Amino acid sequence: MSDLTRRRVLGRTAAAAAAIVLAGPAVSAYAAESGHDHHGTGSGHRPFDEIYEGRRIEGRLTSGSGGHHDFGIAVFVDGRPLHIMPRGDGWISVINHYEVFASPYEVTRAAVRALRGANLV
Amino acid sequence: MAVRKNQAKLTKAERRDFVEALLELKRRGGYDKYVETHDRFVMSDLDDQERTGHVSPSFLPWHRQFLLDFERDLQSVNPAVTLPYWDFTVNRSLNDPVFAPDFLGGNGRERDAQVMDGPFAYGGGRWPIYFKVDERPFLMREMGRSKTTPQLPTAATVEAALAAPYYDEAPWNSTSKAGFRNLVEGWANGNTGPHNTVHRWVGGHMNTGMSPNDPVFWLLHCFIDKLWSDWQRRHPKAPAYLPVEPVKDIVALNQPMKPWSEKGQRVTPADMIDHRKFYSYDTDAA
Repeated sequence: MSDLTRRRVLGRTAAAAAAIVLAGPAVSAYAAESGHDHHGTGSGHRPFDEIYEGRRIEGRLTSGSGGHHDFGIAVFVDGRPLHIMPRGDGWISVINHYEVFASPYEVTRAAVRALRGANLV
Repeated sequence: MAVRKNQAKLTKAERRDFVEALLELKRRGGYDKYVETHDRFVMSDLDDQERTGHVSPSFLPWHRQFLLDFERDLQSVNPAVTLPYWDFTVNRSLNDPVFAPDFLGGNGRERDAQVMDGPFAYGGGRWPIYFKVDERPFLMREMGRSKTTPQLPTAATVEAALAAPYYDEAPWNSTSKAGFRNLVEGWANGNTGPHNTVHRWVGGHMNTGMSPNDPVFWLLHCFIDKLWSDWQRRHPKAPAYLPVEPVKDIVALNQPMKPWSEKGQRVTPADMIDHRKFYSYDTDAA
């Protein structure tokens, strides 16, 4: 749940949030919390790292050791984590929460389109 | 008994009072906890893990209590205010009075989705967005611009949900096929149901986990709440809520729901079935 805590804190300190850049290791730490497996490694996730509409999008494979929010891949827009989750046989994110996409890659690209150049907090 | 009314039938004074209550609750710091709570549940509700607010049978009773809490806070500002509902199947355009400048304001602009008119426009200084996914501090809408969702739901879509003969079914999540709950929440039939469709059509904040940042959230959910009551009236012999017996990861009829249980309050789906304990709708029989 440290993920949720982080987001709430950022939300409350919105003015300062833009200045905060979360480091990769910290992200890996919360993604790897213990718990039961969901869509962990072995689910065929494809890592990605490319520029889409001027933004760097990355999908980094995670341990898949479990955790409430470890789905075997963590995605980032310009280095900032975008929270995604499986829904049905597809994927949603906190930005496109009511729309299902085929893959973590597609839901990340949809977030870039919605962001209109803004940074995630 | 408080009466919840169709927003299209509110008087000018009623429209003003509702807007002013929203703005005053925001000013007092009592609004954003609802955005935060909603997002917390959005983030934790998963198809195959514990789920309460969404993708589960308790979607309807959870939001009924969530709206009641919010309505009571609005009434602490002005006791005469009740939540209006938005029947989005009627006008189905940006000209709907719900988006008029004296009520919730209109669409976001093309460049950055910023809502530019009405009481919730950033320029007015009364509706800063504190709890958000990106840096933008203003209310955002992208109405009608979604390629996948260019139109609001039709009355036929709502009717298809109301016609469902039972409330919900296993596996009690976004893949449940034909129960009222998942038809109206919207994941069923390729994610075409009314609740999700409206969230996508309005877009901007409404398409995010922080959707209560947009006051239209309350009017959408008030209508969804009314539909649960309409469905019960249509199917008086069907159990108003399922499951009755406990099932892993979801809330059964007589089990307490979070977040209220975390605060020592016991709120169960059974407690929420009859809305007439709390308020009436303007369409209820006299």
